[in-house]
Amino acid sequence: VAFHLGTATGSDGTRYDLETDLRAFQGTYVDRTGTRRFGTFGFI
Amino acid sequence: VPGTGTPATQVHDNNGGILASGLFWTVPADDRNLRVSRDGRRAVLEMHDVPVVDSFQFFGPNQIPASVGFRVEWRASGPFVPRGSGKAVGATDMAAFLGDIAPARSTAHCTGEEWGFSFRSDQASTDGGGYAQLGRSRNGVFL
Repeated sequence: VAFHLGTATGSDGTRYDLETDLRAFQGTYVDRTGTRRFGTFGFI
Repeated sequence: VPGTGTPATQVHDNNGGILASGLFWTVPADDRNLRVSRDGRRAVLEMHDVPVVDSFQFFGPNQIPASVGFRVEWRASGPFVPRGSGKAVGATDMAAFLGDIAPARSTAHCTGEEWGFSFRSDQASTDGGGYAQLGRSRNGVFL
């Protein structure tokens, strides 16, 4: 998990403050059918 | 996003959306998108052209299609520490997990695009007010 602070430039030329909440998961999970699977997910 | 990050001044909110099942802000990735070092103290997540929505504000009522890309790097800045209470608490308790978690520093480069607008970030960081951690954890049937 990471909460970043920074800045970004928009296509309108404006400088924006940027804040993120980005997370990554990789491992074994149980899907909706009850089957165990291995997967990778982002959290945006 | 805006000056203070508060919804009152927020102008864009790119997120993974909420499915009818209730699964929120979660997007599938290829296993190759996430690289973790053998000792688990460094990780890199890199994704491009990820379909998301822009709800303009946190939980904003209006959404338009958008896409984002990012490269995020985590580096552990301290030792892994045992965390969570496992089965000692109820299944819905926020401590209903077991894991080894380390504090981390993280950097990110982000891009985003939607109809009529795009952006590119400078290097964003968890230094100076942000927060990051990485580790291994398990919950639910894996306890």
